[in-house]
Amino acid sequence: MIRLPILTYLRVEKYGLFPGVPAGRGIEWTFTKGLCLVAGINGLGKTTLITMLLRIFTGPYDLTAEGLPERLESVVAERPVVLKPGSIRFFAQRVADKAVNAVVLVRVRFGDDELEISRRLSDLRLVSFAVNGKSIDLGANREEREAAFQQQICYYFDVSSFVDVLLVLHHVVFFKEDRPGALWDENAQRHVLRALFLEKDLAAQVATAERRVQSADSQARNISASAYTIEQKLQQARSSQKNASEKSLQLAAEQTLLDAELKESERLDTLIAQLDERRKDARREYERAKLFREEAESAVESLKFAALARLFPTMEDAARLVVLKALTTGECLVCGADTQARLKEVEAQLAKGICPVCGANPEQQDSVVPGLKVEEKRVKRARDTAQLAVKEEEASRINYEETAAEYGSVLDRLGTVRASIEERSLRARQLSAELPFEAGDILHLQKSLELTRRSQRQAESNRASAAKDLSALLERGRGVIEKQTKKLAATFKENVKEMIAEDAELVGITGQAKLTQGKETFAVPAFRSQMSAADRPGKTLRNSPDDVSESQRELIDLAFRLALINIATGGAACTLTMETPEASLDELAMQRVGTALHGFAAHGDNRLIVTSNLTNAGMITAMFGGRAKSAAEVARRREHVINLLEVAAPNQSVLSSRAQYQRILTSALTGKR
Amino acid sequence: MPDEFSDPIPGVSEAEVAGAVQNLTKIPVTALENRERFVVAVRSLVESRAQSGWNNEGGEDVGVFLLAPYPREVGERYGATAVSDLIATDDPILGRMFFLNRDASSGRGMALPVAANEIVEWVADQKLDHLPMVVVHRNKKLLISRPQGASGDARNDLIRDKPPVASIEEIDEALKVSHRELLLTPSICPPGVWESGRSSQYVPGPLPEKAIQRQLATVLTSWFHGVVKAEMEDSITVGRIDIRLLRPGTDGKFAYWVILELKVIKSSHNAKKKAKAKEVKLVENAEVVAEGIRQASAFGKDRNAEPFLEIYDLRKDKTSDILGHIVVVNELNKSTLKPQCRVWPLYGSASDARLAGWP
Amino acid sequence: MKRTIELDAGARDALTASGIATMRQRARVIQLLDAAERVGIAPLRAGRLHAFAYLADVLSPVWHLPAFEGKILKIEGGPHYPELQREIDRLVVMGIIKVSEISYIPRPDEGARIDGLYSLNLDSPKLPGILSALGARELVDALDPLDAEVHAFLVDLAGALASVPDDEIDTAATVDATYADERIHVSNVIDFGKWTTDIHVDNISLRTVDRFRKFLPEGAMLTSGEKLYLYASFLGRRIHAG
Repeated sequence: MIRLPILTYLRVEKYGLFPGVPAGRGIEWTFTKGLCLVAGINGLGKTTLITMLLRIFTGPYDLTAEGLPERLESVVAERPVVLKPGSIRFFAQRVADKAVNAVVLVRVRFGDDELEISRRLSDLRLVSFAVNGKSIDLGANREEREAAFQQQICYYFDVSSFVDVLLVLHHVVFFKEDRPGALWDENAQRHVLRALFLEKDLAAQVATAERRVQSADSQARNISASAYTIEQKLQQARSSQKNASEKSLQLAAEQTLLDAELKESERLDTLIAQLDERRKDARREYERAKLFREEAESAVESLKFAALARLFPTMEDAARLVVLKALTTGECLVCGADTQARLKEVEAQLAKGICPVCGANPEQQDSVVPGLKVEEKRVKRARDTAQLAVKEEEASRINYEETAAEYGSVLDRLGTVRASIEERSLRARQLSAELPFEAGDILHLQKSLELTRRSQRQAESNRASAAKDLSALLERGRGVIEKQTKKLAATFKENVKEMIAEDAELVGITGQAKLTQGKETFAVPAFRSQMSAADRPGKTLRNSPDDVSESQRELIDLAFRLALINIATGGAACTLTMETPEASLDELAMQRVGTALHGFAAHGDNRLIVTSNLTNAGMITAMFGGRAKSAAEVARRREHVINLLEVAAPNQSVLSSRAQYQRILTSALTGKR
Repeated sequence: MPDEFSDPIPGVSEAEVAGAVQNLTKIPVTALENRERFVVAVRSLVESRAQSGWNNEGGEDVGVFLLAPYPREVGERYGATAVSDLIATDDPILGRMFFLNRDASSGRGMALPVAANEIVEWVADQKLDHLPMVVVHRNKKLLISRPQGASGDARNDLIRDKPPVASIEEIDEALKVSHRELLLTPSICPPGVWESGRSSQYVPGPLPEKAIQRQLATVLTSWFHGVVKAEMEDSITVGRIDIRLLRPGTDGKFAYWVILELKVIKSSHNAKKKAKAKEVKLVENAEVVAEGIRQASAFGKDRNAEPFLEIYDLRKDKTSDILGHIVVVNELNKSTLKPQCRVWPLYGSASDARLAGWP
Repeated sequence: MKRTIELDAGARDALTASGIATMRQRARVIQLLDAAERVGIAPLRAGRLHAFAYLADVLSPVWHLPAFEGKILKIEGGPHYPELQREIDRLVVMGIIKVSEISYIPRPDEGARIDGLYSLNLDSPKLPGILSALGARELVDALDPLDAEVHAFLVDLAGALASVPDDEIDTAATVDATYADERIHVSNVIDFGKWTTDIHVDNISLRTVDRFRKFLPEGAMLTSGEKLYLYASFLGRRIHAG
């Protein structure tokens, strides 16, 4: 069973809006049984004070970053959300010093345990936390402290989640002026009923199950959408494939040829590398052979040279060279003729000392030519070497030219093949681009679709099982709540009787909670009000706040709330805070409300904290129980008023008309006009 | 941009490459035409001998150097013997006549065939007077160059006792000398500065800047050979006529040192023969100078070199101070790297020059 | 400027592949020797003439000219071209080239090589015509304008090599960056332009020349002539470094 807080003590220090009396004292207030009136005029800080009481419990967290939303979602969040900085600075913004040193401290009772909680008003930071006088260390890290605090509060409320604490605070404990309230907001009603009436573990399970259903539904829908897209693509692919067979044959043909050419190109690459090696080897051999030949032939020359120089010392070098070359190479350097025959002649002549240039006999010569004596053997050897060298050079030249030619032709072939590959690749790419879908693509799409459909089935099955679980849980819960219907209806009727003229009843129905985007809904117990109207016979079900007038709305909601509190706590006491509905009520209605509230406040250990503008004198009087019977009574009543005219920082109106306002208050308290 | 210089060259060290580049100021000036190249080379050779005290020369006074297309052919006619590496060796150069290549490094040499004062005549007699000729007079410390041959004009250069220093003062000196001796009047200034036959009317040639640039480049090259390298902007499309000087830096690399931007101001545009020459207004000249300031400054900033703007004044009326013109003053004020600006007056006749106070 | 040439029978026969090769070699020899004359380093010893031919071949890309051979067999004693030598000897016989101080120097395996001092025979009446046709005189007379460029390049290179100390052009060739590259062993072919893909990679001498720019500021350029002279400095320093 849920426990609701009973505020016992409030202290506000160093907050510029509430300097207190004398100034600097702040506010120090003990909440006793019954009514506590926070009286003031517009702008003195009534809402601020009430909000302090709210924020003491919530800290810098709420159901959304902006606080309580207009309407709740079908599924509540798992965790409370950090307030946005603007909301956190709500108190700081109202004073010049940004509430830098301001602290609010509250003592609150839950059953037999008394908690003391204090927070900084500048940033809502938790300053201290004590249970039954003993201070509890909740940790140094801010988030940890709040988390630990929230756990504590959950324990004392006896709910499983701080989100449920917030729900209860907003829809049960704190009655704000302009909210539709649990009776009118289906989702809020469902959440609040769950939090209030279900045993805490069950309440937690239901919340979790609801979330599971919603997320499973979301996932299933997403996957279904994906599957649909793939299916479309596949249909498209299949239909265009029918037209594509000819082109793909062409493509296949090109591919085959391309493969063959690529293989050929690879083969040629290897071959070229080999041929390059071979032609380089051949070139090296050829160059060496050329050099060797020159050196071999020069060797022969050098042997003859020495001899010629001796023979013809005055012969010019150039001439000597001619003769030498002729003698050794068998080639006449002058005309290129073959001199083998003449060679023998000249050598013979030289042997005899005949001048090889002019043919003169030794006797005719001025300088005598001695016989040409050359080491025959050496010359022969050198000449043999030279001849071999010539042959070798010729052979290596042929080899070189052949390998170079072969290399050249393979290089040409490689060039041709490469050009063809390029052309063919280009054609294949073009064909491929023209083919809408290749068989491979269709297979891929089919596979993709299969997988997606499988995921979809899985997700749908998840959703179904989540829904089943939730239904089971809801079923368990329904019984609990429906059991309370009678009692709730009775209490409601009683409460409402005093507040509005019409006949109103609380009716239990089976609501249909919509948690998914689909058609399926979940049966949940719900309540609607039913009342008679001026222009219609019988009672009609009022389902939305627009179905009733504003004043009726607030009062019915109040009645409902009071009934909830009564039944949910089993009649245990709690503190209800209210900002009185003012603008919408007529004089009589105000009195009725006041009387109803008085009834609540007078009951047991209940505390009712009500803010009121002084214009509601009638309601104030009614809240206190009608006209005061004695001065002592008035004095006692005054002790139940947090008089913002005195305690709050005065505004212009107060400064100029304080006495008048005090008089109005007095007359409201006494009941005298 | 990938560093094209990063990969090492097999077997070649950076130090070897750097060492080779250090010779940049000492190698022949390939940018010059052969005649001028020869004169620069001979001057280098002679000055290096002079600066090391004329070792090995005995009492000789005069040396003659001729640029021959086939040094051996000419030399052998007179029995001249082979010479090589004149710059590196200390084989005597005075009292001798040489037939050399355009770098004055190799060729043929022989004893002077006649007395010093008969050389020119002898050369003419031998029909060698078309060969570029340089005569050295040790005692007078004079180098007499005749790039067009013995029959052509002569130019005198001092044989310097000390090698040139790469300093702004030396550049100043070189510019002054070139102005006085090679530009001042039509008879000494190079063709192309004045429109042929119309110098007295102060009609400039089609591209006087180019002619002056070539002249200056030759002078500066000759002056600073061995110490500084000179570069010329060759393309007219770039719109700049300049000479850039490089010298070796401390880090072993060459760096730009000085940039000389050349501009010409004139009274009229070029016109041929009897055609009327279109007038050039003062503000047009001022804009030319302003452009020169911009170009010199930009280039100086770009290459981290000191900029100079040399303005050659070909105007008939030189009274208005071009550097005081508002357009020029504004440009200078705007400039973050102000070039030093100088105006060099050139005259259309020798008498005008004399009237202006030039000897 | 092209001129049509009347070929006689002998000349037509010579236009076989080997005939053309022979003509090429002869033209090359004459151009080399003419350049040597211009620079005043003629007559040239055989070894220096071959060295000059090799350096001209390996450095032709500096003047953006195609290589003559693009390869050479690396041997002890420095670069040598048997086919060039054959044409030198023939030109001697034809009276276009003069030779003096002929001798034979021994080579390994009882081989020999001719040595001598070679220069153009300036007295030859055929020479001026040949030189003109080869672009060694006026550009207008050259049969192939490219030859005139080749000649100008050879004169530049000869001038640069004249700055090598003691005219040690043959030693210079052996310390040439490409010839001295240790990755190619003796008795193997150095290929720097014939069968290579990128001369800027395979011609080490060219790479060295390309590297000169690293020591100049950005924007500074070297003329082709300057590059040759700097490379000759590089070779000279290598010779002296030992």
